Amino acid sequence: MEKRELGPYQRRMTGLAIAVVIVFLILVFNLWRLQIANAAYYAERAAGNVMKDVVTPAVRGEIVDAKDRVLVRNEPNFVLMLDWTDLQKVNKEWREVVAKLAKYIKPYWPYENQSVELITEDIFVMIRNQQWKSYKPVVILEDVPPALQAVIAEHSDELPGVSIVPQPVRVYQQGTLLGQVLGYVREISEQEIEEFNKKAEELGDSYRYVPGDLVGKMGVEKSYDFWLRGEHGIDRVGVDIDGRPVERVTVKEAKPGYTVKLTIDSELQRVVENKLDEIIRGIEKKHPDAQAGAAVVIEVKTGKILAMASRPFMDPNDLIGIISDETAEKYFNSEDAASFNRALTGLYPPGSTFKMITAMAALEAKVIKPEDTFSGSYSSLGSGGIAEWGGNNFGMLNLYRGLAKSSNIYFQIIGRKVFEKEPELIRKIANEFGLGVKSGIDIPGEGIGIAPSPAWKKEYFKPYYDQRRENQLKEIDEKYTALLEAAKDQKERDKLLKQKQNEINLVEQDYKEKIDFYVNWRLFDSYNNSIGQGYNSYSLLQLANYVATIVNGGKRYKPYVVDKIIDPVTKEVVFENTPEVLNEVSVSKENLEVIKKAMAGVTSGEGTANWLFADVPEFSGGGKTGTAQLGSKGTAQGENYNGMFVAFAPYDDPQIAFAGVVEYGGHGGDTAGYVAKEAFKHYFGWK
Amino acid sequence: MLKKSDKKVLHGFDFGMLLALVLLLGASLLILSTASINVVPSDPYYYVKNQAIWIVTGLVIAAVAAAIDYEHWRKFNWWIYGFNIFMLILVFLIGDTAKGAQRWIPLVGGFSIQPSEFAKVLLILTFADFLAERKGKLNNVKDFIVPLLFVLPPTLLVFLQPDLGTALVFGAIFVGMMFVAGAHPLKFGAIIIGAITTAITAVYLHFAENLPGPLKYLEGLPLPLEDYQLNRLLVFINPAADTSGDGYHVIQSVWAIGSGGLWGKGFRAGTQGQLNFLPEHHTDFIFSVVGEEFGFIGTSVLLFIFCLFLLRIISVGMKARDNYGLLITAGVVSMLAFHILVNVGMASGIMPVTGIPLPFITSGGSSMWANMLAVGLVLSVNLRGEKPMF
Repeated sequence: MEKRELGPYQRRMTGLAIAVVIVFLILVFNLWRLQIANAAYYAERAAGNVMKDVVTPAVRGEIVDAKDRVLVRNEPNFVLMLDWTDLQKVNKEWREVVAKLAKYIKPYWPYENQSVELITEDIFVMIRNQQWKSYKPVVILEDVPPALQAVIAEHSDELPGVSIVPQPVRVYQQGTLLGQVLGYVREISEQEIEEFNKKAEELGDSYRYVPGDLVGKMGVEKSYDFWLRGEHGIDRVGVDIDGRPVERVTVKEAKPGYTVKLTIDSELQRVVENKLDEIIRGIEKKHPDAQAGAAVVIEVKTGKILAMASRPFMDPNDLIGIISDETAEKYFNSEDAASFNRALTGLYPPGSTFKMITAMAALEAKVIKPEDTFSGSYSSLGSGGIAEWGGNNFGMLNLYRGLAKSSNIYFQIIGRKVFEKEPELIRKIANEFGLGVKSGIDIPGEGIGIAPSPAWKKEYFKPYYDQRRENQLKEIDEKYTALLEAAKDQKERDKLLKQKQNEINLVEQDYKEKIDFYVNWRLFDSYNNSIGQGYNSYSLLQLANYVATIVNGGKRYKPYVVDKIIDPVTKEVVFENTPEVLNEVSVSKENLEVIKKAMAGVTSGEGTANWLFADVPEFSGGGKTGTAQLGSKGTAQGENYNGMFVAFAPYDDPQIAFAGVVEYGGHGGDTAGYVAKEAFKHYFGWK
Repeated sequence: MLKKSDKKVLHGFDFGMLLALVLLLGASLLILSTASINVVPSDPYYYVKNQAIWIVTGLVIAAVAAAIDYEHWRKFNWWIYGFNIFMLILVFLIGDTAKGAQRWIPLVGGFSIQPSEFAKVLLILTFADFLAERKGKLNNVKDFIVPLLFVLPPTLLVFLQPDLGTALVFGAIFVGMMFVAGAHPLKFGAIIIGAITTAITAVYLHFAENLPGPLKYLEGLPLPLEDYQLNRLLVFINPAADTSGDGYHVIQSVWAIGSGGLWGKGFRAGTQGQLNFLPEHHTDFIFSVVGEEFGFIGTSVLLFIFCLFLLRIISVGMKARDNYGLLITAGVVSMLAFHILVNVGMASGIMPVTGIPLPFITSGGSSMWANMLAVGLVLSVNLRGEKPMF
């Protein structure tokens, strides 16, 4: 350890010391540069450092059909905006800026020949109208053409606070096609923001809605909003003392929404819609009231909805932006409101399409065998009941012939037997097939309907008459309490008490009569119910699923319209709906086969729709016509009936089921039946 | 009053170094008492109190290390080296993950330590012994390979955590100690410059697009780093173009420092830090708070104290009893100088964002203890070094 030995090392240590000093000199020089040389510049920056987090909207997800055809996408709409809070800060003569802007946009102003002064005034009005949310720029002009974009860009120096911003606009590419199923979007309201965010918080969803967000208001847009909306990004904008953005840093990139792929085949949908439209146009001449109709095509072994149509059709594009009174009338207020999804929400008396339920109940209750025959004469009903269409007498009828001919007499006979033996059975079986119960479909607004029974009738009506009786008795009691107090002597009191008892007796008698007629199950209830009239009402979705359940061996599937959710970037499937069996019916396989065979008889031989598929030799399968009184307008009289039709195909190993209605369409076979025929032809590729 | 024997021991004691250290520790508490005041709202002095505890315990560590003759460590050199590697591997096995990297080993009572901080000091200690044995044998390129292999295992382990910043510190320690140990300056310098150039070229190719001719096959050159790490490294070149948020940090930090001016905005009067425009202002970007609130006077005084501290350590090294002691001090200086360069450079926008702390100032236990251990080793060298001649 001699000093000499350390010599060269010490020289190197001196070198290290020099390096250290250099490092510090560099750092100090740089600090001098920042803190002395440019101190004023940075002081200004930091002083005006009001960092604003600006939300950048996410592009909403696309909706495609089962074959990946795009149904809903987004297009940029160039909007001219005026950020007037910034403008006021920058320029004390901001009114002159508005006047200049008016001059440039005059040629593109929607109202021709309006003077620059008037346009200026209009812009001031727009600003005033939005004063309660001054943080938002005012939209002055939408759909700015490229020529005006260039003019504004050229004069941007004179127009502080004016900007042209592309905003994504939802485009429903196919117009009215599938309108009610797709739904529509609108800008979220202040009230909804609060409500939705509260809900999101409860669900542990980190998403927070902000003003300007589009939210689904109906259909797939609503129920799949969570997947479609994407996530907005955040730009942190540094603004200087004058409010001009000087730095813009994307803190969070906006994430586009997922692509939603439907189970619906848009070409099949188009065929169904076109035929429905054609049929209704034809009937319109005879029945001006005939405007509405609907149809559903469902895959029997999965519950996938292949088509769902509702006329009058809805074009979601009409519901974007400001809605005129005319549009509001057409879509929301008129009797045939187009925003109403008749296939999903509309409830119709099923008419004769209900007869398969009656038949299955009779077979299960063992009150008949399929081959048992009954006379089709009206007198065989005994007392009361509904006659055959046009007063026909079909002669001797067993189950097959009864359904083929849609004999009211036959089904009233067997229905009555069921109600006498097992009063709740028809309702139970209807429910098992999804009639009168929730289907759980993945779009909002499904109609539930009513499957009546003695217990249902009692539960539904009795509370009303009980309450009525109670109120009447209370009223009498109060009346006489007052009178009795005012009474002069015992004699008058006795008289009053007698009067009171009389009034009570009247109420009790009335109550008994009402209960007997409106609450207790009557024979006419049994008759009505057996042929799908009376209180029965179901949605077309339920009817289609009911047929599907008959022919797929008794499994009721949960219907759905969305197949999968796909990441638009990675094409990864992030969510998938899979067929879900909600319940298996209690009807035996043999009895289901009997019904299937009977339905085949409707579209062949002497069936009520035997002619329908006569020119399509490939067809095998079955169906059922239905005619129900009471149109949706409540003007049912004479020939005002809804035409219903349900069907399935092919007979061996059925694939799809159909349910359709044409309001005021008379017999189902020759209206909704044609829609079924077109749908089958398209689906199976028949000529 | 000191006893006679104490006087003898303290005779060569470097009071300048100790004074600089005390000033730095005091500055740390002062700076944290403004920088961390808004971090834990319920306890504004949370970080100050913690730092005080770490300082006191750290001083004990330094005293113990100073009391032990550093020569003793040479006997256990390979044991220490092995222990160092073991700790770094242990991080992967039982380590906690924070911000995407495995760096922490949990201890009892909710405490956890960061072995990579200690690994730096242990590397200095072991590498010093290794180089002291090779005196005068670092004259050509071949001689550089064995020392490189010595440093590589711990460096790779830290790099894989991933902790790029600390891995670079290891590199700086290697370069500094090799230089002092007598590596041929031209050959060694050429290799270092070559390595840096290669690294820059590789990063360029990784991000390159539309290169002409056959060069296009090198586009998107795969690198053992994630893109987010590379982006952090490059963000200081054009902070406004960054999308990850680090660019925003750098912009805010530069604004904070610049706006401090000559005298600063005053204690707790800096808007950037106090209003949270400045991120991580009690850890990685603490220097920005100094710049904003104490101005150029504050930053240059702080850097002056740091500089004085490092020069005093060098002076201790030059008076060391042997090569081993001298190389220890060279390693400590390299480590601290690199930390200061990168941390201050990052805050003032001329260095990549690597997240390595400012020694003694940044709040943090492992870092404080490791630095104090290094100080203790330097003191040990100092106390046993050459006495001034009368």
